[in-house]
Amino acid sequence: MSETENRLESLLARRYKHGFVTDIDADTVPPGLDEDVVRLISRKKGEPAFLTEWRLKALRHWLTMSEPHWSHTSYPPIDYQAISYYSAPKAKSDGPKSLDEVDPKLLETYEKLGVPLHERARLAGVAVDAVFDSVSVATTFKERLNEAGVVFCPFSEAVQRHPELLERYLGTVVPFTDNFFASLNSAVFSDGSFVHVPKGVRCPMELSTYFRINAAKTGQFERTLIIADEGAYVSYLEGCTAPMRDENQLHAAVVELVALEDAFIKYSTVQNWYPGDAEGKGGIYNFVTKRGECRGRNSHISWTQVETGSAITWKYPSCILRGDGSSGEFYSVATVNNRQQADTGTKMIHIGRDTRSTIISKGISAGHGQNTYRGLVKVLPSAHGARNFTQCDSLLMGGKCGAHTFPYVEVKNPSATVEHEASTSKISDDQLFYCLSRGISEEDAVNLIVSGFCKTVFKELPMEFAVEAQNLLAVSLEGAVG
Amino acid sequence: MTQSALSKRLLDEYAAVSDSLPTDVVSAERRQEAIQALAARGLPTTREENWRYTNLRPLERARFAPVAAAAAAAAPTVIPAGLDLPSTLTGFARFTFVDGTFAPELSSEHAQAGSTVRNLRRAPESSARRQGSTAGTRPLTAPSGCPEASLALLNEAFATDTALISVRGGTDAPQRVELVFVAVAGADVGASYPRIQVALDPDSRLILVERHVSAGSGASFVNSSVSVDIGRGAHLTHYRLQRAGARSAWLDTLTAVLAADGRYSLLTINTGGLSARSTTQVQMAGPGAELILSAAALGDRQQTQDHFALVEHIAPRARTDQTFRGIASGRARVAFNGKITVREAAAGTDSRQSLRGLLAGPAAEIDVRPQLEIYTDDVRCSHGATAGKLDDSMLFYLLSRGLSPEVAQRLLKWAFLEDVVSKIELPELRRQIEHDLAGQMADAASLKELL
Repeated sequence: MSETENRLESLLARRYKHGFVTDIDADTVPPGLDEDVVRLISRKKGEPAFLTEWRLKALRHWLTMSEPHWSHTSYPPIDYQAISYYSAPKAKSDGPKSLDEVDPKLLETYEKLGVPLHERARLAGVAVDAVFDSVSVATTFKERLNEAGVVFCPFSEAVQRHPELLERYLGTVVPFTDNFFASLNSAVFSDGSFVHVPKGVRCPMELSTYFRINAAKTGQFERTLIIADEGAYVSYLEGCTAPMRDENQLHAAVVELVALEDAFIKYSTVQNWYPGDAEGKGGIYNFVTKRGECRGRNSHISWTQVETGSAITWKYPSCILRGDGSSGEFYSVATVNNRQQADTGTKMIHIGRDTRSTIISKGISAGHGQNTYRGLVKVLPSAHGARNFTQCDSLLMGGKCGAHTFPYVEVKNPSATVEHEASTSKISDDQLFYCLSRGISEEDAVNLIVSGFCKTVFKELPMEFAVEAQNLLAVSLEGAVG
Repeated sequence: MTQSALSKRLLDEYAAVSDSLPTDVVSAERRQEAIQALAARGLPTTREENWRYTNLRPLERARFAPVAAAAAAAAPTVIPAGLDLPSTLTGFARFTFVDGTFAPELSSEHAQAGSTVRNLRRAPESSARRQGSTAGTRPLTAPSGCPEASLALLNEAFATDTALISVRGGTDAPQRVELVFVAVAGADVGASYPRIQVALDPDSRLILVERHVSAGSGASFVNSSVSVDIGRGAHLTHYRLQRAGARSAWLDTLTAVLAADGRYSLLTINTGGLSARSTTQVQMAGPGAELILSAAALGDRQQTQDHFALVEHIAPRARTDQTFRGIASGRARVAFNGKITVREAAAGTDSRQSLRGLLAGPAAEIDVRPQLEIYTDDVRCSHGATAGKLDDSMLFYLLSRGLSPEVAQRLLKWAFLEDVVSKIELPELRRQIEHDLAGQMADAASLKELL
């Protein structure tokens, strides 16, 4: 045997040593990312060939990309080969055994938010067998949704049950080439939600991941696809106000919304992941791509977000207004405290005639937090009569925080009207003095003023959420006053 | 052309002419440093956030070596016959530079007590002007850390002359100086590098009118660099009027530093050039400094008018007022990118930005970016930006008064620019500018009647 052949053989053997191609039923693959890992994930989930191929294409593209650094944030470099890209849902026994083992700080927060006792255990990841009523609640929900013909299931289930819908819509709003984190997500996404509302159906209830049927962890690379067919209506709630226990530091999710003719999608997010401690240690990196396309005439997509958690938030829920007469909305409250950083905003791309968009963004900075609004309003030459109104206000609490506004207005149609206004200031001494002189404590006064500042966004949230969001805001700004 | 090829060409062109570049304007070492820094960094590209609206294609084609380097060896700059310079302003000393080099025969110096204006390049007949040292030619505010100011490095490497203005305090009446830069040679012959350094002593006053015009083919490559230093309590009123030829590339970098209670009123009107880009960088370094930055831009046909203005507040209680009005007609792109940064120490900052663009052509484009970057809470910052067409209700009002649609539209466009034009405090200059602007707008006759 020649020397060359020897070397070849040893190379082959080395590759085999990693064992990614074997059928070992590992719960967690070793850290690192290559085509074998992607194939493994896809096989584990029993995905059809088109999806495996799509994931691989995404990976190959991702490998050619470099991480973007234009956001107004700073964090140590991420080693993407040090992350494990697949782990089976953890057994419940891994969690704390009872509430006594849970971080008292977390429990204190639940107390302040008024989270019902039995839910606290679930949120904290306590290994309780019977998780309150959620099973029965979920079943009832499922029946009602089935009657209406609405599909609402985990993404992995949709892969099995509705591959034709996936093949048709997946990646059509956020292609796998879109950006670094979206490409990564496309290659390795773990699970997420899938919603399809058929023609003319008004979804009979608010869909919420909080009560989602798959209690299993969806992991750090979540992928959500919502399709509203002609004339359909759906309101979707993501996240919850209570802080979730989560071990993954990097989150790179993708959300795609498709609204066909006369369809209406309302997507609300309350994000309160672990923001790290007061010194900025730990905390979640939330790098998310969210985009909706108003594909049909007179369709409507509305994003509402309340962002209080995560060490770094980097997301721009956007609307592509392709259908004539379609409209997009973006309502956002983003709060940063301690060492949190948020670079968030939206993109409104006007393509169709008479398309309209509204952007209301409220940023609150406290402590050493850095809050950035970054938004693009782009009117293409085809968008006759396009109309946009943008308002983004920032509130500063303390001399060490930052509030930044980077709007982009690009208009290529002379019949369009685009307006942007923004203001940045601290809490007005006059307002504070007025409240104090009425016997309101300083903390309550600040909460009152902040609530007023955010009112236009909160009123877009579903009722019960709006109340929780206000409490949440007060909790997350704790310590910012005085 | 790739960036590396472009950088190589830049170095080659520099090496070819470096020996003939006057060291009294910029020392050889500083030229060398500048060209190395620029080559290392690369010329700006539209992939960079603050250059994305600029038309940078002329950089790929331009000959970087200055016109003067080509001409000086052979003959002094030829001033074309029938050169139509703007009429002089009463009480202003005029200094004219042709292709970046001082032209004494086109200048009219008024001796003014309290200020000195000189060019650094020795005029052939008056060697007395020559500076023995390069004192007073301190480097323009180091642009190394600021990618937006990289074209100032290009100017520093190739500059052929400098207009040096220093104003002493102690007189109440402001000094009045007018600088006229004429671009004659085409971009195929060489580039022109206007260069100005202004230093105001504490409590001094200066009114500076800076004009950029073209003669000849109108296809020049101009890259100007201006440095302004405003002392404690000094006031500078600076009018910058850019009317470069219709096929020119006009690039410009201005850096200014304001000391305590300094006041800088900067008014820019950009109407010329095929591709024009202004970079304005102002640092509010002293408490209580005040900046009033007003800019108007008109774009027609295939023109690109891009203006990037960065204001940095590093001292307390300073004030910035930014106004931009731009009209894009034809297939033009008019962009304004205004950024205000408030550092931690700049408590009590008050800033206001009002950026408005008017779309007046079927394929025109308006890009406005009012940006705020704020690192302290004791501030009052606001901005507003709009892009759109003329207000229908205003048009209707004028039509109902019997005006023709054309006249009504022109009138409203005129009114739109007034937010900037009305800030011109010199009646004589304002009249000149109004006539120029009216000339820029289609069918000027009826507007001129109104003036």
